[in-house]
Amino acid sequence: MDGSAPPRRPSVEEAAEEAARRRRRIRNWVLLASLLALAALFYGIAVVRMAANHQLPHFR
Amino acid sequence: MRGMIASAGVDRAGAAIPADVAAPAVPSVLAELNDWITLLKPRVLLLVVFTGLVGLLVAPGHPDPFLAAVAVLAIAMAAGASGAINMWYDRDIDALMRRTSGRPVPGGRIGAEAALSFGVVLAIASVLLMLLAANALAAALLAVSILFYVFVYTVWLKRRTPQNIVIGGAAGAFPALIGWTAVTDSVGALPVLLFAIVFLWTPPHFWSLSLFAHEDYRRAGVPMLPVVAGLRETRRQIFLYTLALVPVSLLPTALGLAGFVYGASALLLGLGFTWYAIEVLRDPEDSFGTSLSRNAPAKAAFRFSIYYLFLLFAALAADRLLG
Repeated sequence: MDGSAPPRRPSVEEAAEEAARRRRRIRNWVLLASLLALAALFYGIAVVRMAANHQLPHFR
Repeated sequence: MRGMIASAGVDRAGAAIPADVAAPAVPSVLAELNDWITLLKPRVLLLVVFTGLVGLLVAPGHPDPFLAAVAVLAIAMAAGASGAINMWYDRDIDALMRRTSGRPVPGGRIGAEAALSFGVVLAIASVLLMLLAANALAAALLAVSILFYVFVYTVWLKRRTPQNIVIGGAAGAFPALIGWTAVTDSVGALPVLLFAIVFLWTPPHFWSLSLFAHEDYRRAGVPMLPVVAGLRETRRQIFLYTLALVPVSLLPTALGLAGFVYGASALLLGLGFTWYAIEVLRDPEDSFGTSLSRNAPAKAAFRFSIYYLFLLFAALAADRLLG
């Protein structure tokens, strides 16, 4: 018994806010992953097309 | 958000219940992911992707496998985009229909603006990808298919005429044509026939569904054929469109564009579809045309119509790969 108050439990509003924040964070990560995937696709398309157009020996 | 509100509790006096006392406060990420996937109409998407893939496989030429995969991905993204925009626009009538009231937008789990943004971004990305991976013609056809589904079917026809799915069905007929065009950069006789097959398949497929979901459409004020012309006339139209579909499905073999495997499959599947259509026509009904069998034949015909299209296109792909 050190006399200090027990840790306060989060209210419903706080829990909801935390959940919403967590969802936003996950959405942002998903968005980032989607953008990176799209960039990778563009990159892949460019490489394949260049290989086809210029007949690079490596891709023959 | 719905899960969150439901799980973290508030007692009758409005006082907050500690989150660890109430049910789990954090909504499932998987549930939200599932909602975003639902927005893409995954079951429709599967059929669209499959017909697009077959269009690509049967086209003459040897596309780079990576570019071909990107082209199929672009078709999938375009189909998903069309579905998402459709769910955004139809959120008012979706909320009134039992079959669709649980969708993410009318269910309040995804905001209308978010659904629209998702659809538009996907649509633009799909056309861009097709342009880069295939050619301008395939990208243009992909854009036309999205615009057709959104503006001609969803916005213009769906709430105005019982011919909505007849004309609007063209949107679903594009993928095979687009798959072919992605390889050849041209439009040939076979993809036009594939377009015609899906076009003629759509009315019996969709009207079979509308026979057992017509109360939903009536409630929402959507003038589907059973609501406007009656159940008896809808059964007749299903039969007539099936009769028109069968000979068209045989044309690829008759014109020498496909071989025996496809021709025999098309004949057998066509006979099967016709049998189901006759069963729908012979469904016992009361004086108002209401089914006395709880629309069992219509439900069976609807299920078979999905298998029909899958198997018909699979037979065409097998025919080309074996030949």
